Amino acid sequence: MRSSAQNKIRSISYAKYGYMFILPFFIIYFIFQLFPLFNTFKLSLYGNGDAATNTFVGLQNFSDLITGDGNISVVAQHKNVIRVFQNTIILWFGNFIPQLALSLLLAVWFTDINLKIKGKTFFKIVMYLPNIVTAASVAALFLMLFSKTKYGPINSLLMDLGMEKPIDFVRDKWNSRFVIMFAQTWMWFGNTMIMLMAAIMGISPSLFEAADIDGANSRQVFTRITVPLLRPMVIYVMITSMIGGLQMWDIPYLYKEGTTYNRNTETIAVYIYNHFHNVPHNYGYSAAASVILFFVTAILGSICFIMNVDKDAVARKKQIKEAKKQMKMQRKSSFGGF
Amino acid sequence: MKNLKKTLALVAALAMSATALYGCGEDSSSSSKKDSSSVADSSSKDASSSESESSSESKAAAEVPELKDDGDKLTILCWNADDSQPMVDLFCEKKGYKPDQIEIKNFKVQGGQAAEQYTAYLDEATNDADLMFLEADWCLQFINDDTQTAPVESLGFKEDDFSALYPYVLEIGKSTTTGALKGVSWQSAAGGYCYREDLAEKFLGVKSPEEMQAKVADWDKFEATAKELSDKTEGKTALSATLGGVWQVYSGSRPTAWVDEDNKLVVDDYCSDYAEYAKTLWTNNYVTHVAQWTDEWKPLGQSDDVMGYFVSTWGFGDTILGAAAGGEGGKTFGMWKCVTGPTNFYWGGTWFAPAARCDNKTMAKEFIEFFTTNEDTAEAYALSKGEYMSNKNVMEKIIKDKSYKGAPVLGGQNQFEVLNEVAQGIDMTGKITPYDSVIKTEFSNAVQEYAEGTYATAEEALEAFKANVAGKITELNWD
Repeated sequence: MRSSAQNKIRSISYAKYGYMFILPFFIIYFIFQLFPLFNTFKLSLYGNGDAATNTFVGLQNFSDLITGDGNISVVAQHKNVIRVFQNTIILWFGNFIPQLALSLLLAVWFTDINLKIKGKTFFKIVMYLPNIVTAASVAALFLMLFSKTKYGPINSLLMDLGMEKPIDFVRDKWNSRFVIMFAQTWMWFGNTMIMLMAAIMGISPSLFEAADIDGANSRQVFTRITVPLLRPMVIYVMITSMIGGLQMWDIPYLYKEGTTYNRNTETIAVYIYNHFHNVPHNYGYSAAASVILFFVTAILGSICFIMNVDKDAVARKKQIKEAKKQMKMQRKSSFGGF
Repeated sequence: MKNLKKTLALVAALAMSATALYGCGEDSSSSSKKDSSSVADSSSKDASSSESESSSESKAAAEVPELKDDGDKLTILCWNADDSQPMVDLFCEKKGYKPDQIEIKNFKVQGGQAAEQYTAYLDEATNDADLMFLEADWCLQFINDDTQTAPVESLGFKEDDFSALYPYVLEIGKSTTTGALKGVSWQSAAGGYCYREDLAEKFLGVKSPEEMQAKVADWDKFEATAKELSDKTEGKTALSATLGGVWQVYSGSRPTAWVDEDNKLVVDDYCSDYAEYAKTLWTNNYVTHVAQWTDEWKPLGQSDDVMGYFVSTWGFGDTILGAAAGGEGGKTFGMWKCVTGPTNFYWGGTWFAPAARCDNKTMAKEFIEFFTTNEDTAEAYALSKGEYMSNKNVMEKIIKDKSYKGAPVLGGQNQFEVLNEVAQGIDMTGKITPYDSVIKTEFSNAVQEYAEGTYATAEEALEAFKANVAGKITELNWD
């Protein structure tokens, strides 16, 4: 039998106040994130054009975008979506791989005790700086530098060095993609570098010391110690970068000439934006494309995650489980044998 | 004690969420504070604006809806105060209204984004709106929607009242579904070809604007002159700055609408003609390869690489030509002249339309009259702002009185004389569709790509154009 005092103590639950304090976040989350998310799902089931915005069309938008089975308009939608997905993947790979390579290299160098680099903090700050600049300004900066006519800084420099015709950096298919990849890499490698450095510094120094004593060379240290122990951080970087990359909007949207946009650098997010803001509003198609993007992101994210699961750890867990089971069986059977 | 703690926590949580949400509600709360009385009035008496159901009813019922006249404030929707503020100032000054009787609801965005802001604002039935500023590119979106805008007739105008306005201005303000006149503009954005006087004399032997006009009177002559100029300067000087500028003008010469009665996109000889024409200009460097609105566009005016720009009424100041000449005291400032060019064209412009929920009928009518049909006040505004008005009597009077000396960048020429001629010659009858903006953009992109060599033939470019429009506009008839 509990005393009434004990009962009273049990009934005071401080968790309640905690919930109240986190309530504002959830309210905002519901209004600005969750509701739009569901609304997008809803919109993707409705028609396009100003007249048909309120007509329920089921999965028509999805089948239009994915199969392209229908009139010229539907075929155009399908081709557009394929094109923008390709663009997005090319632009993401083109910026993620050099970015990861560069930041990994720099992170290893900056954390290596044997390399005595001077002015580490200075370099770290300078390399992180591009990330502080807004993407809009970065796009404007690159647009100005890489202007495609003979009046642009890079082109006039090249022409002074003896080139005959200006290079089209803005509208040409691969040149424009290259500039965008470069700008993205330049913007984000500092950020990735800082994250990887944090992870490397989290690795116990005794491991590096032991490797040193055992006479491992720096390549061995890198491949046998740094990289395997960096795996969780690399997964994190990869997933965040992939989500960011699939939703890449600002630089591809702004890096264009005047008011004409470039079909070769139009990403999914730009496509969604353009269709949403089109004058006969294509809410259905842009919402359907968003939903497809959502699932693609989810699937790719899961694949990344599964691929990077530590197989040794899983195997070890399995072994332990197995061993426990056997122990139990043994104990049982030994009982029975008594 | 326990209850007190609970209440305190609840209050704190509510206060936090309230402050967090404060920013979002700011716009509507401040406006509703200001015109709360008018909202109360309109919601109790005004049936037409209170609910969207009833406004859709009015769409079906009468063509000329009754507008209320009991609001206490004239609310004007606009996206910047560049025009609305000087207009309201002058209106109040001359008509004796107090500035607080007019509310300028300024969305502070670029013109292109205003349409969405308006839609969101008007979705709320209690938000007040009497007059709306609409941009040429998307004005039909609202003008064709009877739940958003009302015909000017409902303010008490007759169509004859606007007979002094340039015809094209009225043509654009008409609904393409019902034909009712719903928007009028106080300004006209007719444009002409502006060229460097010194270069023209040096290379083409042209001594007066008349001689220059003879050299660019149509598109064949324009090309021939471009060739002449290019030959004389060894390909250094282009006749027009950008291909986009040429397109802006060429689009004015389209003889038919882009979409026919069957709701089909019209791809005809006009399209292939222009594609070839553009390719010729581009590959021979008769235009520079710079694009409009890029950073290099305007500085070209100070080099000898470009002889001319296509400029509309609003472009004689810092927007285009003034800046291109380097501003006051710039290298080529005052060395430009303006002629009508190959085709009469207009470039943009702002229209005002009465909102369907307008509850200040009298004042809205006075406001529109003030800047369009009332010649004295329209003239006063033209002179105070340097605006090119849509009322041709006003403009002819200003030209005759010599009360306006012309843009300083033209060094003594009065561009109004030229533009008056252009504005009267623009014929938009039956050529307007709600899709024009998208179609024209896609067409000019496809032609640009053809000129750059992305497509081998004009047919391919036009196929791509058709597909791109199909990808943007689903509601056309695509077989």
